[in-house]
Amino acid sequence: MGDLITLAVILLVTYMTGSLIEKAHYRKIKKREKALIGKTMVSYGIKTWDNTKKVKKIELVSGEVVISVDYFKTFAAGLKNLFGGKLNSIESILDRGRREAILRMREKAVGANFIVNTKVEQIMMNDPSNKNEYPKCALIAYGTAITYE
Amino acid sequence: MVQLLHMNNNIEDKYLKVIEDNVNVSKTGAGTEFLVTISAVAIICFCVFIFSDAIANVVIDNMSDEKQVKIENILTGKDSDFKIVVKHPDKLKYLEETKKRIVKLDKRLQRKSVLKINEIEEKQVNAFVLPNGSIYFTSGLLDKVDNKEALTFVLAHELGHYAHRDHLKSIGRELLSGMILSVISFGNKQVGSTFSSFNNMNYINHSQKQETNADRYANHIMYRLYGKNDGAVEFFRFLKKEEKFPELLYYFSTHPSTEKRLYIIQHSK
Repeated sequence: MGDLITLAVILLVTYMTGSLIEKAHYRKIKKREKALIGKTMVSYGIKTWDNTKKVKKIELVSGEVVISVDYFKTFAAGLKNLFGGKLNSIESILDRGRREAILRMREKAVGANFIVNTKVEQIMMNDPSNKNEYPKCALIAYGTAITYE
Repeated sequence: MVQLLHMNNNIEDKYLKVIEDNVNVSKTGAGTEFLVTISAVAIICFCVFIFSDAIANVVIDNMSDEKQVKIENILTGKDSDFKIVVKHPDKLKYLEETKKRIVKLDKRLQRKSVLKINEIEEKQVNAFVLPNGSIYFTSGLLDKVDNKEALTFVLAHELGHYAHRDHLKSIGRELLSGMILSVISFGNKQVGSTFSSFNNMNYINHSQKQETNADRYANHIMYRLYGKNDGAVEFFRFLKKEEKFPELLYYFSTHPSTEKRLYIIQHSK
């Protein structure tokens, strides 16, 4: 019975801390995304662009983030594995990671007009031999920043 | 110029909407998802426990006496595991005689174990029965309880466990439910620990039911031997004085609270 109480307390505490951290992170993401509206445009695939303008600079820009899943979400997702279906608890982690990586990339490209051929990639950073490790994921967003004269 | 400004505002509104309305994350939160999933897991556990209970009860209740004795002997450790003493020979003699009287009243106790009664060196007030029917009273209990009818109640309670084959039923249902749940969890750590937590909760509930049934059995024996249950009531009043735990802790105990046990005894025959 002691195990059950300990588990319930850990789940409750990690749910509360995880929710607070997530809300705070989303607030920051939204604020930064709003601040970047109308600035560097991001394109995920481009074949041609306006070549009548003279290009001043072309450079590689990237944004990286490593994001981890908290105990509560890991537990909830593990339990959901029994039945299958969408893992709602993990979706927000992926979304936060992707948006954070793109934001960092865009913030690096301040002053550029476009970031073209942007790609977002993700790597699971877990040690496959350690089953007790909490899932953590690295997200990398990269593209070519173009600045007109 | 005005048209261009208007177009820019439209684009800004569109981006603001995209930022605020996130389609990539489900509207159902992690907490709600967890509650729904844990409820489903609880339903699975509940069904498995009912199934295991039913199967264990049917198999154990229909088991022959020979087979019962054979299994019980395998499950029981040696007497040497306990420090056996004879500090209260008079009370032990009285318990032996009372045991013979109780055995005569119940066919389920006959032609099986010798139901040996022992005293063990232990300050705590306690008594227990092993799967092979050996009954142990602690020196603490024999020191503090002088009322013979109260001692009869304790003995009848332990014999009740043996007559109901409680040990075998508990082991049977634990084995069966453990096997089914481990197959379902299939090595999933989170599912496994949730099943184990539900199993612990259910074990406590099951054990409390067994204790209540043993109390009812002992109460019934008291009425048949003495025509009253004053000894049982006195024993529980004594236990209430002795115990130091708050009532709330009994929700996590294998035994119901003394208050509840006393109420059941006073309201059943």
